[in-house]
Amino acid sequence: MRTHDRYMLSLTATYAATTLALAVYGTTLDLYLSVFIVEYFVITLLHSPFNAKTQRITNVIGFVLFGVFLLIVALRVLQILGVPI
Amino acid sequence: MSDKRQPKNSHATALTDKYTLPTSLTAIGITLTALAYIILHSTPLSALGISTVIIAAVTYAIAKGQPKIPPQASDILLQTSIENISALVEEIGLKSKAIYLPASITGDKPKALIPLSQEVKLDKKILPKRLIVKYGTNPEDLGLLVITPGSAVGEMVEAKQDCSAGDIETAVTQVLAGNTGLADGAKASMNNNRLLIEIAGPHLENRSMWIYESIGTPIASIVASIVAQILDKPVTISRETFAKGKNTVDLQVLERKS
Repeated sequence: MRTHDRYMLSLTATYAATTLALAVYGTTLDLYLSVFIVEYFVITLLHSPFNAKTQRITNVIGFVLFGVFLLIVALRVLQILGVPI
Repeated sequence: MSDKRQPKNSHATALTDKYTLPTSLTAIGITLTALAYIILHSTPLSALGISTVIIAAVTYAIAKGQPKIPPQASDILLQTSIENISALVEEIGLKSKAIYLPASITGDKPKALIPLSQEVKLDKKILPKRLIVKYGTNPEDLGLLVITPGSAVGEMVEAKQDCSAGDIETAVTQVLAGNTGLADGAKASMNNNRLLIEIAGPHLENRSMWIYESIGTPIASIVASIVAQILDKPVTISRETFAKGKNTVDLQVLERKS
């Protein structure tokens, strides 16, 4: 099995397992998202390096997901500080 | 009666096929997220939709990185070039091991020198850009300077001062697993002037060819070129073994006389 196939399979299996596990616990959407983002970074790093074009796009996806993660954290911090959103 | 059928635009068809999966997954993901979040108010289904969009983006990244030339066509081109070198070397009757030279010695790109004599001592001078080169002062210091499969990929790395086994491992993995997709990964260990490189999951078929005794298999040739380039020193393949889906290349780093 090629690296790309292993990468896709790992990501899909991990996301499926995470969705199932967190659905049992019944958590909020931001927790799902945070776990997905962390998993994306870990699995991508484990299967790197990719060729230049793929690497460039996975980096862009990483930047976008990191931005979403920062937004989730910022909203949580504001919530803890009691700032109305 | 003439056949009026138009030939299909295979390139356009291939492109459409390539992006069908990411496009479909994105559409499914967005629809599922919107439906689950707005109408069904279901968090797990919304999460499933979002994960589908992330997977679609990754699928797009992988599709974008697929080579334009099919692997079978690349294999044919590689085989042709190796058979040409093989015919040339066999005709001349050279039997010595090839010495992989960095770009600083060839003055062009990393190449392999197949010498006439077994005893080779290279000095600091840059070799001429010719097929038959004289590399020393003795009359028998002649050899063939050939472009090998490693020559093209050797340009992807640069020479590094005080380079460790880790640096070599990173460079070899980047080229084999990243840039060319010829293997799954590599491990390197260094002991004085000997280097042992273990290549995991090589994807090239191992055909038995006479020339491999001299220049090594295409993967070994690529590894030797990368090592020669990164260390900025001549390198020769001492031994090459295949076992349990691993290709082990034993390299010897040579010194240049000043």
